[in-house]
Amino acid sequence: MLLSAILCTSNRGALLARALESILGQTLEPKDFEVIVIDDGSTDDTRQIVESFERRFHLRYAYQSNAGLASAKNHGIYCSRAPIVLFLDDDEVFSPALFEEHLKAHRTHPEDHYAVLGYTGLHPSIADKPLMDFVTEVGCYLFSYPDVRDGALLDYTYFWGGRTSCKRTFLIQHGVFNPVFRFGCEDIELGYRLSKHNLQVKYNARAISTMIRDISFDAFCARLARQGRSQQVFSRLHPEAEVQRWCEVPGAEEKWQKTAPVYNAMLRSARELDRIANLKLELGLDLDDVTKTLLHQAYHNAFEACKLKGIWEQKTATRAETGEKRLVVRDIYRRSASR
Amino acid sequence: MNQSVLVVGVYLLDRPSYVIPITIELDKARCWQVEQRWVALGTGRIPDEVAKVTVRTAIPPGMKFMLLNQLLAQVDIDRHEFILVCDDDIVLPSGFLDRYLELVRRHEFALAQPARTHESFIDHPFVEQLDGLVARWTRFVEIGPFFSVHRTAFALLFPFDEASPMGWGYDFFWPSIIADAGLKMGIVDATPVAHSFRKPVSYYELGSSRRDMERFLSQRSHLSPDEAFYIVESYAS
Repeated sequence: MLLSAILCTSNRGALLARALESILGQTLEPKDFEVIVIDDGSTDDTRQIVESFERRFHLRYAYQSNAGLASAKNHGIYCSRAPIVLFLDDDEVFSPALFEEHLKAHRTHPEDHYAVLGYTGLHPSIADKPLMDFVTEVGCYLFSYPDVRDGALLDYTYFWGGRTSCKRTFLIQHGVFNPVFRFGCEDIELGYRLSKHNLQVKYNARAISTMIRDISFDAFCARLARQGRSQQVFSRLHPEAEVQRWCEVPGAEEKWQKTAPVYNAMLRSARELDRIANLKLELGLDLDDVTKTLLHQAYHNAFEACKLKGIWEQKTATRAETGEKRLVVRDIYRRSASR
Repeated sequence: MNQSVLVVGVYLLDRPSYVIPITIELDKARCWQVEQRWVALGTGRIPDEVAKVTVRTAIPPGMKFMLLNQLLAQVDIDRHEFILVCDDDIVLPSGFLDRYLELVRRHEFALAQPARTHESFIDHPFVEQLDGLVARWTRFVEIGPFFSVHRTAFALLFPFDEASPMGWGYDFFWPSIIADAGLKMGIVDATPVAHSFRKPVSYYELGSSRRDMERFLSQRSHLSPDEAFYIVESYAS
């Protein structure tokens, strides 16, 4: 067994089926990999879908009551048996060479502290959507590949969940995800802690996955508000300046005070421009440059506002309101054991 | 079925501890007859609240697992369904013992521990509570601050091997002997205990325990951390 692919999912049975289907085509021998599906409290047909793939490759299904992404990923790490763990998203399909490409990069960098980042593109069915194009190619709110060249050695801010692999032993030795994060920042926060142990991320553009889920404007706004809340938590865990900068927390309060009065109008305006842009495309009309510029500016303003709102909400909310159970800096007092 | 459990533990007399609330909480069990036998370490006065369960004082403080062996040698352990080994610096959730042992029995864990709360000092992240789970069948159970041994494993684990008198290394050796005997070990996530009162290894010498562990493990078949920190099966209910 060379690689354990960890797929955390929650109520996305139909998408998960497509993800698992694409694993059937992996060029890596089935005996050399396993897939761990962590079902984070699904109430749909996720279990049945996973069971339909049993006996096609090594597949392990584990259910947990809904606990969020960080807990689910930790569950997956501890269920895995291979020396390399690859974190995948349940709303993507995977190129046939994905597993092999991750392994190749690890063979080139066998030291424990090297992780590998693959490339994620958009499925043709969603690539033309103005919002999806903006969040991957322009504003880079979802992925940020335009400035990364193949083979680059990157820092912890590229330890992106859902498309990164690393040595299991590195996590076992130096730390796993902080369960305080239910969505967002769990990957970068772990990366930050691992950076203290020399984590480096190698980008391999030939390790390709493809996102297949279209995200609506309102869903993306909600996503960014959650991201903002996680950034606020991340910033409280680590007071260091570089983390504060990454989390965009300094000055956020003042920015939100200015934004709050126009927040609803900002979102309304961006939502309407998004609707018009999609309508034009459906009618076979191109988006002219002026419309594009306006649209991108509107998206940018709306998404920044959503993040600020999330940061502010998390900062001002009580523990009871956020459901936050703990905020603990992982601090390991290790009794080393012989290997 | 035998419904009796024996709690053995050591507490510090010269330092603050939670021994009083721990013993009170364990005595609240409704499904079990609980016998407690504790050793007081040091020279302070034994608190009235734990006088009845304190069977001896050790001056100067001795090695934990040697003291536990002495405690266990004084009783007929076969009268008990479980032996529970408890430190003096944890906070048990209310109703702990009934719920914990219910889950240990349901999942047939011969050797088990409650997970540590998120706020606890953590030696091994593997034992931190996994949210969303009730319990997991594992290849690792820590030597403290709390673990339980079912009678099916008494002969395997007792008396404790005094080659590592502070217990370091047991937790990488135990999985081998538990698995060889066809038994299960596990962690109960639904009843996490808080271990945040004192940093581990605050009051004894780290280097000698580490040397003991290295010597202990070098002479025995054991698991590496990679092998040990593995969930064989997880249970969400």
